[in-house]
Amino acid sequence: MRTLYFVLVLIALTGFRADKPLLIKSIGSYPSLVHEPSDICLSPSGETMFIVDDGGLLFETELNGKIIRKAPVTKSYNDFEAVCTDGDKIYVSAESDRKILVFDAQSMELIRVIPYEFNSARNSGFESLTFDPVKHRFFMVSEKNPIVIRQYTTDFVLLNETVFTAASDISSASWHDNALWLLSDEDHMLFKLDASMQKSVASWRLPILNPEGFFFDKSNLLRVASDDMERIYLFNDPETHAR
Amino acid sequence: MRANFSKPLIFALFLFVPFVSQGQLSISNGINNVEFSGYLIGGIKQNMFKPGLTDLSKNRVFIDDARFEIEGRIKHSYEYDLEVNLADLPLLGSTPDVTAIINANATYTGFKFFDINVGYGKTPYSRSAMMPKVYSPFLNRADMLSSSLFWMRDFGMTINKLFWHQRIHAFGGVYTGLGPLVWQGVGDPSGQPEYIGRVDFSFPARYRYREIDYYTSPIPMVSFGMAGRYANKTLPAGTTLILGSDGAFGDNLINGKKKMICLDGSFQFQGFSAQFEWHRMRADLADSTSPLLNAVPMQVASGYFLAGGYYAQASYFAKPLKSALACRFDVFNANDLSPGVGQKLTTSYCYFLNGFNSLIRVQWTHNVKEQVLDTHKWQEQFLVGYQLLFR
Repeated sequence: MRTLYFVLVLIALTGFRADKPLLIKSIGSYPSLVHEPSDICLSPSGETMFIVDDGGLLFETELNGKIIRKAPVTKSYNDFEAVCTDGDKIYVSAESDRKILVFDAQSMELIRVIPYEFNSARNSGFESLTFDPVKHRFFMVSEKNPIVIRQYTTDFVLLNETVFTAASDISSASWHDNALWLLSDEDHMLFKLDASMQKSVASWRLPILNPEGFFFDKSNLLRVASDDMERIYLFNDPETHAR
Repeated sequence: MRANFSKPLIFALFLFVPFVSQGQLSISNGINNVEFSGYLIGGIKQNMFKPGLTDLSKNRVFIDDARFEIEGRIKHSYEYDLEVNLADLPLLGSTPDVTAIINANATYTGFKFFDINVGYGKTPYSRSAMMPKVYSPFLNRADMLSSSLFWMRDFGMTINKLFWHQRIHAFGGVYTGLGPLVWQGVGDPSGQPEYIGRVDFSFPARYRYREIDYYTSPIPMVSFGMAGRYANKTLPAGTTLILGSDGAFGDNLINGKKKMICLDGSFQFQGFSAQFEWHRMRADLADSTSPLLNAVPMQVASGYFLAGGYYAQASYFAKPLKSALACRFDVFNANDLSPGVGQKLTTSYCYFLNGFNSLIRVQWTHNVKEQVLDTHKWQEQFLVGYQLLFR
């Protein structure tokens, strides 16, 4: 019996080995002065960024992390997990509340609250939010079990829904280079999706603990926020620099 | 592990559930939220008996857990947790410490400086005991942790606070010391509580209570913990301990003073994970005729006995293979006035069909040494278990 047990274990461990995706290495990092950053996005000016945190706060910071201003506290909501902008407004996903909060990009005042339905675990709601400025549509992505990608109009009317199965979870989304990019916290992976929004056309490994947010800046540098490490990491464009 | 083999209806559930579990459900009105989850753990076992002993087992099926949990949040300041283990229902009344209630507690998170939890649930003492069992590579915990030295759960109040970007986690609490017997509603003759405190230090970031590096940490991470517990349960004259409150070896609640200290640590990096945990208990007995003296005169024993043990384990998670291999060596001495020290060597192979949601474990345990207080008929034990999470 004992021999059979160890033989079976050995057989299982000598099975297939999958090829690993390409690794991209950080070219620098700096501390996030916003504690527990859960998502980041580039501001309309391209010179600053918006950051949300787990405690329900929205900040605008310089690209080096220095805090410029903070939105008035909205005590009714917490657990901000995603942020994006369409140029005029800032959109924040209050994940456990199942609401999209709309802030004015100039004043950072809360101007609208959009509830939505999603009957997953409380902390497995929509953790990713991004805007496609060409086709004027929003993408909302649930965290896991399952990973659902929803497309919405600018009035948040549901257009389409697909399921993404190539990752364990998704912690952030960003629209870049006319494609939807997704970040996985648990897999430490970055995915570039095809037009079907169901398959990735490329993926890369990021050696970062707990990556929760990302965007590409105007110079195509990839900036990734780590929640646990409370740092922002810089990477060259993965499509040209991965190895 | 309980040896109850007569739960065919519950086991039949395994035949009808899909291998890929569905998403957890929640109900929310935007302010208040309730979510439902649960899990099943069961399987088969084969004991290899010592020479000269005959295996008379007729049923080798075990069902350890059929749990259902309701977790809720009221606004942003109150949370509650209700959890029952349906697999314990047939065992109710078999021994005094069996209860189907796993969690029944509420937490207030509205204070700025700390959270406060009141009710029945896990006590903040041992790293391994605080880890949800569904995240273990093994089908059972080390012997000293299976409610042999201390109650893993109790009714009481816990205050906890995170410091330094969640790298330091401090707990403190006061409990009945009765563990699951608190549900009998019988008063504790001593009237004294048990105090427990614990501090975790993790670096370079917060560390979750896990024993498999399932997310293949890209940087080395460590966590160390230190904990202590104290109870003075000296009985007034003419009273006796509540039946069963002293546990399997008499260590859980004693007539006298009980002091325990625990040191533990955990490490993970790129799929490799290792843990250790060390416990030492000193029991100062109030009764010179206590059976815990094991016939050693009170003066010779200096009025106390020691108990404790340790375990060390390591595992490696191979993500492309969806597999983990783990090995654990554990040592347990229930009473230093009784001869012998128990030692067990356990290895486990885990195959993740769908992460922890659907997981097969194959486990082999070798009974290396035994203490007189804790003997087994078997020399080796094989377990094949399946875990399904509804979440």
